[in-house]
Amino acid sequence: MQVLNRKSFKLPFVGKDKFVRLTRVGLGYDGGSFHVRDNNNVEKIVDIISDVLGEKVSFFQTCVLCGQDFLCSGCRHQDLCPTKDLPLQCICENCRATPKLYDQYVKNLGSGKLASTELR
Amino acid sequence: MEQPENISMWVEKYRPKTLDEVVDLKSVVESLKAFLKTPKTMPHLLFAGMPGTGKTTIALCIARQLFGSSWRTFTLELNASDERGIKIVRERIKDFARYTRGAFGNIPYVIIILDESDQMTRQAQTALRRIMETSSNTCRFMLICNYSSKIIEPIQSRCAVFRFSMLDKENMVEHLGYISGKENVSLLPDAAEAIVEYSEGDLRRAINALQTASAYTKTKTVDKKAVLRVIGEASPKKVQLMLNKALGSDFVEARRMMYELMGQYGLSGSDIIRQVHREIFKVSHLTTEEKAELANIIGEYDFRLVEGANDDIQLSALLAQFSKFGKLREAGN
Amino acid sequence: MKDELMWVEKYRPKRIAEIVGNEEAKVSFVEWLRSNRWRKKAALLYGPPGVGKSALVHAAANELNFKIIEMNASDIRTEKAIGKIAGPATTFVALDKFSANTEGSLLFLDEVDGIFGVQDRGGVGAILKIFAQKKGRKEKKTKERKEIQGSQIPVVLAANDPDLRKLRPLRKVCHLIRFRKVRIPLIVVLLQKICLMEHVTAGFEALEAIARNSGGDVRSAINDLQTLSEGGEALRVQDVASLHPRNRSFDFADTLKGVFSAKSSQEAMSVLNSTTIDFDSLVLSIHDNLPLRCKDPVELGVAYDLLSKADVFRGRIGLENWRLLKYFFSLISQATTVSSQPFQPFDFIFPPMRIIALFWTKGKRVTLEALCAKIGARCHVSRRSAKLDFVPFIKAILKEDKSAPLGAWFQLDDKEMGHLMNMGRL
Repeated sequence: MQVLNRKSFKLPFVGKDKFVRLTRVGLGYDGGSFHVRDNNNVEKIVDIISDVLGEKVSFFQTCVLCGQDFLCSGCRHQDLCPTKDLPLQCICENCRATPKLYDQYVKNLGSGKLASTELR
Repeated sequence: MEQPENISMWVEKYRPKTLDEVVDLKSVVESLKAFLKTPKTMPHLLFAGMPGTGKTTIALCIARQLFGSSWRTFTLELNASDERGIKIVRERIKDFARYTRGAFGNIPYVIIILDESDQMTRQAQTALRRIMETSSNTCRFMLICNYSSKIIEPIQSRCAVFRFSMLDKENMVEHLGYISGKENVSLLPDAAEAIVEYSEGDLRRAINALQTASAYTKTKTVDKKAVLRVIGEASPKKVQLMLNKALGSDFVEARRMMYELMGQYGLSGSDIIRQVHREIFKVSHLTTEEKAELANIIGEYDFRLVEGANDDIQLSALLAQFSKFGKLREAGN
Repeated sequence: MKDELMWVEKYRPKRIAEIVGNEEAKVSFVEWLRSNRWRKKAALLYGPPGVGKSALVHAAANELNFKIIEMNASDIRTEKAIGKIAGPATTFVALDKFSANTEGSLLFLDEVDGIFGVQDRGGVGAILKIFAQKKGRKEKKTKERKEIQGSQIPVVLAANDPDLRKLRPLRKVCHLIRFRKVRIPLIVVLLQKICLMEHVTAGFEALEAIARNSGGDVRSAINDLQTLSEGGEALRVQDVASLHPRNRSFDFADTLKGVFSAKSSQEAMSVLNSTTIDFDSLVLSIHDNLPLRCKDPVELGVAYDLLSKADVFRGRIGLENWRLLKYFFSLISQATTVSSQPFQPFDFIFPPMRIIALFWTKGKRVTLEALCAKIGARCHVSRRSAKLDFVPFIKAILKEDKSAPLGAWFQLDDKEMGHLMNMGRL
């Protein structure tokens, strides 16, 4: 199992065909490392990379509240989660116990913290 | 102008042309005649009464007497149940007023007859009130309805309201006798009696029944047998059948027939409910109390029909109540 | 019912940040809307129901000052209708630019899946046409073409279909934005907030159970929370057990089966909360199938009475009184659970009987209406009155006396005469 960070990760030589396919389904390349540019088809990205690496691939999760990276493997909802291991926003185990979570959530997003800098 | 002998429907042929020809409705006619002497003072009119009591006839008489032979030019006949929405009514009135404007001079105003105006929603009536206000210089409205209580207060207060009472038996027989005399048909007393009873105070129905019955006889004599044949022929058999199925607790079949009535005849929910209400009193195996109970249920669903979104659901619900009633009745016996 | 409003209405997000989950989609949408890219492509938001697609459009329009011209694609199905509203909107709304407080308008077509059925191919064409100028530019470089290239206002489409196959024709002209089911911890956060606002005491585990049960559908989770807290008591995990599990999507058969097999009205309510079928089709389908569930006439009478009351609420809801929706749902869920008999699966009646009944007989009705209009004009009565008070008599006279000049007097043509003579009795 290989864990990747959506903002930047390196891959071994993938070959022209796979490279074209990866960029087409939403992976960005900046000359040295890859990043997830478009989330619409991340399942396909995962499939192709798993194929390249010959092992299962999962992504770090980013906590919307504290910004920490964490893994799905510790989450008790992974049995039901249809987006398990995909590079999406979630809330880490530590933050789930925080009171007034929602207000904090709205504040974080509204003030442009974290991934949604583009929002404001 | 059509000559009287060319008119094939007796209701039209013998419709009075002037107020003087109207024999009943003395008090209504007298006050209207007063308006006709000084037409400028005539207010908007509201005629309320059950079907076939002469409301449309009187309205047409007034138009004829105001405008003479060119009355059609200056009279707009609208039927609220035929027009799709108040916007169209407004447009038609506007167009009509514009179209006739050039002809003014010796004519004080044009007349708009709006039949079945109690079929309009409250919102539509409010809009109508505004139309009446803005066009009051050029138009007089004659609103015709069954129940004046369904007309909003602001409209009623702008109109002179006339109530048309149901024709009594003697008057009805007299009318039928007059017409059959003109048509060289002899109407036997028991036949006249049967027509009167069938028509429930609706003269239009009575005359239509008389004409149909006379078509059935070769001998120019209308007897009771002919009348009963007409009643059988003109009765809403499908509605009766639907009613019987429902009361016999065969709801699914009753509902199928309801869809047939809606689909093939384009009857609306309120049309069907009105028919059902009329027919329920003719169901022979029910007691008077039971009929009253069913009539109550019909009233409730008639009310919901107006409030609700879906005619088919309300009607089906009514049929389901009949099925329930039938089932409980059967269990009680 | 202790609350006037449905919570999904009450807590409808006003700002983008208030929508939970789908951060990436939110960013992508706002970027598209703020740049000029909307001139060249429409935005297509696609994903499962209840995750915030139309909430995002409304919140974004609110924050970025767009006026939404909303069209429910299931209402207006033909190319012509779409062209009429969307076409002029894209070419003429430039005028709006002069108004001070708004950057302009935004055309929002919700539930576009509805217009991609086989019979509605034209609908795709209409949406494609709005962005067709791009193609035109390549083909002919005439001046007029250049002037109108691109859309004058942003066009946003939303589709419930999670996979895009059905929407293939649109992909070329759309900026695709995918929505996913919202993750359970994020739903819990929102439910906690609502509990706080509504003074509902609920255990964390109970909220987690609701969120887990929702299958990532935020709207249904909020509805379930409201249903469960109607009792006014503290919410425990075991209360959540009465909820109907959310399937991936509730189509007609699922929904009908769900409401008719429910053991309590609360269970039926939870099915209704999660259905994606529009209310009017839903209520007609329940009406069609109710007699198959309630075989006993007495029970059927009770059930239909409730359905009739629900329909009265539907009438009152009209287009704006959405706060009455909960009474509507409540009455329907009571109606479908009247029967004391255990649920036996049956074949559902579909499509609605009403549509079948009215479809096959349209020609007959049109002729009858035309004929009644002629009678009405002659005899000063409405078409309805002509139909009920004249047609039976006229028919009887003509049957007896074929030479009667009635047809000529009413100016009936051969088709109308034929219909009159051959129509069945009322």
